[in-house]
Amino acid sequence: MKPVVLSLVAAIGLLAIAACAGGMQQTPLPGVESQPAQAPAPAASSDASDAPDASDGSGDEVPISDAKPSAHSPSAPQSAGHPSAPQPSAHPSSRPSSTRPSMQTSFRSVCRRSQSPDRRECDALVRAQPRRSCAKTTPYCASDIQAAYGLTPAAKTRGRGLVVAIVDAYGYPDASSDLAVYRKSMGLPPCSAASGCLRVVNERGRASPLPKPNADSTDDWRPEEALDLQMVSAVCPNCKLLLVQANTNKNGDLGAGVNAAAALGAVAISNSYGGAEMNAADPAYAHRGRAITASAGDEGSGPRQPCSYAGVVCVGGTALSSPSAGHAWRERAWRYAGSGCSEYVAKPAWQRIHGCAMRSEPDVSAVAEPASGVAFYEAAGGGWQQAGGTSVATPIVAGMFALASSAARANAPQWVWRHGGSPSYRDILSGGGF
Amino acid sequence: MQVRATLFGALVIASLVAATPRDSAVILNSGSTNTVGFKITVWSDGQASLAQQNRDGSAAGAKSFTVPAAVAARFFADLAAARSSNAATVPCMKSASFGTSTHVTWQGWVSPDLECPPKTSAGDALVKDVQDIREASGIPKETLRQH
Repeated sequence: MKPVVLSLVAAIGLLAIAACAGGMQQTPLPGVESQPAQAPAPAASSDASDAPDASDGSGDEVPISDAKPSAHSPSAPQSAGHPSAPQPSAHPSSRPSSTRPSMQTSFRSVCRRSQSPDRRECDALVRAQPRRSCAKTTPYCASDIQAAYGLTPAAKTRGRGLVVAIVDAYGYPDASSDLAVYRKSMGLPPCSAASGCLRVVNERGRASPLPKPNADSTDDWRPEEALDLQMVSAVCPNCKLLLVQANTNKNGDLGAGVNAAAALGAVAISNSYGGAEMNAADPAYAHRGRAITASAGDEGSGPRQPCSYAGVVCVGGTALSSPSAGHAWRERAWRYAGSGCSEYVAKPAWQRIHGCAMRSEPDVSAVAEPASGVAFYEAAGGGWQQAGGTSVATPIVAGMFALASSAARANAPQWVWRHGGSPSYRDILSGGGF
Repeated sequence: MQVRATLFGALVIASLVAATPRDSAVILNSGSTNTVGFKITVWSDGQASLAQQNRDGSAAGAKSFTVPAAVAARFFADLAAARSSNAATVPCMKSASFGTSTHVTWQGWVSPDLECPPKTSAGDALVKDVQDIREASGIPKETLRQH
């Protein structure tokens, strides 16, 4: 049975709530609590400047419900991925005057041949494409992501000093240098270890020893780590970044990494990974007060962990279309985005949806469709690349929670459902069909 | 007379070898949202074929290649050992959009997912063999998908 995906895109940014509802044709929207959306604010909107500054990491920004997203009508719920209000013209003007990645169209080898018999040869290929600029429609740049979700003003002023953690497996020695290239190219402020903005630790929260890359395997996590760091940067340029590298992709190692991230003060923890469901709960993924996001996966139907844990905001995927000829930013469900009904996790009281007797997933969705994709930079993989999937959506949503209030993070999954249906969410009723 | 007998014996042995059916195994990598999957068929004599496939089923490349004889022999021996020891891997997490699964099918036996850490030395050996064969095929470990 194909799950029907209902998505909403939220206030400060637009979290697109996607509820699995096996066989459901309509899903009642949760209560509306957020402020009506207004016309697009100028780049340095006062909505955020009025907010308490959270630069010490303890303060809160303006609650999401007080934010003035730039995209949506206060009066008409969005449906079928076509917001009823005109989309802001902020898209072109919000682009940074930065150079932009050269993308690639045909495969070419990028690695030097090893001269040593005891070393494996890197045989990575990348796509070579003509150089593009962020003035092109896709793949999406940081400014596009901000504009699509009404984040442009908030991204300039909020999140200062707050820590967003990314938990992944294995090492990624180029994390800092790749991040520097991305942020500079996207017109984002620098974020380095030297400045204290970027911190890389192992699963115990220590700076050393860091695990080595799993470079000899097809299971190389470096692209994932690059993408995660850069998507959080795109959404929350003022946030500090904490990259936690688990020793392996074993469940226990990654869970230890999440615990380390929480212990080191992350307000949002992004987990772009998952596996088969095995149990009903894991304390590593239950840190009240911290928004823990996880990917619903790219395999269509079927629940996954850690996404299905009750303390996790389970993030699905959409296909995002840029403004064109009278249309604002539009979203529809991405056909491969994960969704499902848990076999282990009881239905939380706050999850008001029919169709799943147990916990349903995902909770919210964001851009994932790979054909449009997002740009990211990873030197070892050949430089600028294009990627899609819920690995894109998950750090984006984590970044949104860092821009949001502490109230939103207090019980993040519940918050999403309580505020779903607000006019400032984008309601997605089309697409899917895996 | 002795030479003739030797030649005859060699001919018989060659005929028997030629008549022995080649064993084969298939390595299947699922690919991911951002990487191309592949299927490698390996024969016991070292001949092999590669087919790369996008998620929508469209072909992304195909070719024949040769696996070094020693690698092929080791691969089939390790397959036998892994099957007899019922080699398993530890449950693991995958990157949502870059992670793949890799299984070997041989004589009706399907290996566990070799992208997860093996529990036994037999599993370790199989993982190493698959890496060597993939490298012999010339395909990259992370073939980015053409979106």
